[in-house]
Amino acid sequence: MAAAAAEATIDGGGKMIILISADGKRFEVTEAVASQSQLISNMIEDDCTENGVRLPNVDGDILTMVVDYCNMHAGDAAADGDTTKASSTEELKKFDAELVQALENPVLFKLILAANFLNIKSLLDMTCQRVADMMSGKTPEQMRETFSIENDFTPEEEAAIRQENAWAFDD
Amino acid sequence: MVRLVDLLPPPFVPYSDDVNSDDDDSISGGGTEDEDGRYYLCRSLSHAVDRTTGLAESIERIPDDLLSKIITLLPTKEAPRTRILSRRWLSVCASTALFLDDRHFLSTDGCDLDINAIMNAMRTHEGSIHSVRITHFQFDTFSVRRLLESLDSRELKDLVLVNSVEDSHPEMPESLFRIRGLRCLCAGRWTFEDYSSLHLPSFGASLIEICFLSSDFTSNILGNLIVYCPRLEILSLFDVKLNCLKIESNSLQIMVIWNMMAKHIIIHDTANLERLLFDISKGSRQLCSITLLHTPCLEVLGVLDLSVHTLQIGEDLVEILAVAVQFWIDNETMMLPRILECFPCLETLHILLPTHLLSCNDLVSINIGAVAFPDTRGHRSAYMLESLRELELTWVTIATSDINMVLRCCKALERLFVIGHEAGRSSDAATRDGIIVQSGSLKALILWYCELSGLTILGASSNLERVVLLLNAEYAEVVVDRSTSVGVIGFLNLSYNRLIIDGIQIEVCVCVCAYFL
Repeated sequence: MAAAAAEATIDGGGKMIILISADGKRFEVTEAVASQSQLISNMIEDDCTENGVRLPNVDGDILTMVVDYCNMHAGDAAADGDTTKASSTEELKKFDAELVQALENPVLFKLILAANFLNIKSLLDMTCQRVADMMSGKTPEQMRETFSIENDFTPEEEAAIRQENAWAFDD
Repeated sequence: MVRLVDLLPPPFVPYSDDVNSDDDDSISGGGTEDEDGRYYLCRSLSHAVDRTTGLAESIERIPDDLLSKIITLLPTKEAPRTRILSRRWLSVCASTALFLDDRHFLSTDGCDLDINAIMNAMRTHEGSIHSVRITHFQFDTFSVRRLLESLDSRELKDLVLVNSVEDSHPEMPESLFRIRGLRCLCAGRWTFEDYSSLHLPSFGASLIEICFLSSDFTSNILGNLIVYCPRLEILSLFDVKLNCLKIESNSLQIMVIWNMMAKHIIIHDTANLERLLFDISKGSRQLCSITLLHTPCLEVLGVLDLSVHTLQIGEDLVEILAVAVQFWIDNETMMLPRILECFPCLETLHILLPTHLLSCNDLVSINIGAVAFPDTRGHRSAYMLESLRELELTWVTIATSDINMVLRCCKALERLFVIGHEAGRSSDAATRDGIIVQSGSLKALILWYCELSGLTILGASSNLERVVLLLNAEYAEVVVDRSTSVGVIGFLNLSYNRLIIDGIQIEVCVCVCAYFL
């Protein structure tokens, strides 16, 4: 159905691929941009992207972010790619920092799952690092509060674990 | 001065560069991060909590393997705290490999390291220990043995163990070689004694990278170990005391020897060795013979210091060569063309002057053309130079006429760097005319900090695209033929340099900056 659009090429000669989110939103990206996802890269190799790539696990708003991220980072993946898209390292760093900083927890977790599903290593590393950064420096109680983790230990069990790992709790 | 720590692999668990820094102005309002996005370990927590409260959505959706990944990104000391969160986290923690970095165990003043806390961390961790990096502790033989024994059968992959005190080199116990499955070993400031070869085959079986720093070897344990490392790709030896180094390895690709005082270096039957890098020895001018036999893949070699190194090489496929030559010593300058003849495939030649002698201006009056290429009118040297595509002369004194000679002889030369050129005492006619470029092959000419009376680019230089100049000499005149395709002329100080393009003299011109290299 989207064969014509999927076959469309841009001026640069790069083949375009259509990504379709769980809620039916469509995104047109170049092969170079899309193949930062190892999943899609494998699909391109196997030649099964002609009718668009359905991503039933990824919502449209999350896919928007992923596509933005991949567009920004297309420069590092393909050295001889479109030079106008290649951004400087500082710009990229700033873009990345702003991308994850602003996220609320549910969105961050969805982004992690999407990066994991699409197999985009750099995005997965960055988002996991963000969670680690949010945990770092907190007491267990603060971590539970931040991430809504239910404490299913009895007070005795908790005390035992704390005792066993005392070195990690003395500041 | 290179610090030992700069030579180590990067930390396994990132940490902010200076734990004690309070004046980091990159911390924005409400944030507790440094510019790398890492939280400081002990910065005020309230802001971070404020920012994230009310955003409650369960982390429970994240699968175990990703939780495990997140835990490994936490500072070593904080990772175990997640055990107490819930039963799920406890079980994920138990199956997460430990990345231990001693930087996270330093006291707040950054001086004292509590080794017992590290031992505790390893003891209470149920899962495997992936990486251990300890560089802040003054080991003695007892403490290192205790540490190594606790690492036995913990599936350790990377081990960085550097004694923190410079002049103490405790003995490395044999228990190191009982560890199985290690991929990367980096050991600094140890004494390696004579060990039995019993454990070496199983210790070396998985090693990919080995690095020894400032260590003493009283036996041939190093050579013996390499024989038992069938997968070893990188071997680095920094400041290692050895009389004779003999290396044989089928898998080795890169070898770095830095500040080593050995009398003999013998590298043989290294079928995959691509790069052999060694430094110009400083201080002691210990003579060293380097023998390379059956190194068919060797492409990069250097820095060969003609004052101390003698080279015997079986193969001649080297493409990139660096040599250090003291041009004021006849023997060395005479040796250079002979060495170049040994490398017919050479594409890039780097000539370096030992930097500590740079200030000896009186000595620097060498004519590189007459001495380094003494046979330019004969065919042999001219033929030799034809294969050169790039020539870099760094802080070499060379007469202008000799630069012209190099340009004429090197028929394939594409890039010529002359950095830190001084005209010397030469007073020939060519000096007055300056450099004359009429080379069809030359694409880039860089004359950086050069004392030149002038530069003339003739129309024959049809491929010359880039010229970068920073001329020291006053009243130098730059003449460019308009039929050339010269793209950029940089850093011409027009207050006393004149630029003439095909007869049109430009009196006032903005200095063109060219940071394109």
